[in-house]
Amino acid sequence: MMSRSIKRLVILALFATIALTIFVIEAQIPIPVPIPGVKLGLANVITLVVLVQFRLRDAAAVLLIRILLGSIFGGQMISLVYSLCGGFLCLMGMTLLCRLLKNKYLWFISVMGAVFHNIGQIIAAMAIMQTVQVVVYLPFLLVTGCICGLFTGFVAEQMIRHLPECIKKQ
Amino acid sequence: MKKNILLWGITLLILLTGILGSWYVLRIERPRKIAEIYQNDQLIERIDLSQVTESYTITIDGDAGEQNVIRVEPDAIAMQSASCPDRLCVHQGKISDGILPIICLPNHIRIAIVSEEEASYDVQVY
Repeated sequence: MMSRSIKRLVILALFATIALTIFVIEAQIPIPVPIPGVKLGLANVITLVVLVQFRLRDAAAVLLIRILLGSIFGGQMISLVYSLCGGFLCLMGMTLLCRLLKNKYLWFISVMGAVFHNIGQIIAAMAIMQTVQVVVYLPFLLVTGCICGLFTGFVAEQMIRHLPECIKKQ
Repeated sequence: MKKNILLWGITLLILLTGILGSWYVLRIERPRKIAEIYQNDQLIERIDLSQVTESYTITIDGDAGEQNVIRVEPDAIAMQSASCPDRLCVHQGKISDGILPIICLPNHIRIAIVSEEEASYDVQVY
């Protein structure tokens, strides 16, 4: 029993590290569109994989660690609020859909996760800037979110397919 | 299989909403900027700067031989040259918002930009 929980701890730490690495590297990739909030969201692959393979609270822990440390390494503390708001709304939406779709159709769950992330970001921006005008960014974020979410979803599907047996669900 | 089609449908619907929304936002999102040129406190010219595609100049002559040349650019306006001694208005450069008007005090010229939509400047200041 003991070794099992240690094993889970190690695996989750490993996933958190991978997610953080992806997050930090992704922040260095220049985005060719001048819209704040647009990004590839590759780190969401890990959140999705953990969510499917483990429990909700494990995914939440990995997500929280990734966002906290990512903001520290990334340098911008203001982005912490956006990331937290978007990340957790994304996680809630994906959890709900995972239950609904029985962990299948990961690409769709990822797309919806990206959309929820964007909505969370916009809500955070509205709260911080005290204005509703930032809503005009939402349509652009929906388009990029759909495309990037589809991509990360396929990546997550492939990743789960190729995951070694020892990391899979206990 | 049916579910697959449904999910693709939802995805495409969101994508389409986003594209249509973006298109809509891009179309309406430019507040019109109107430059108003006053001489002796009388409005002599109104220019919609959003409609300007190529720069041109306007020359305004005063009663006592003063001359001001105003350069109109897309989304901006500037005083190109003035016959006044200090040329503060020329040094101010071009303006594209209504925060500070260009004023040529010796020649009684005032250029102000009024937007139709009153934007809140607090939002733009971080």
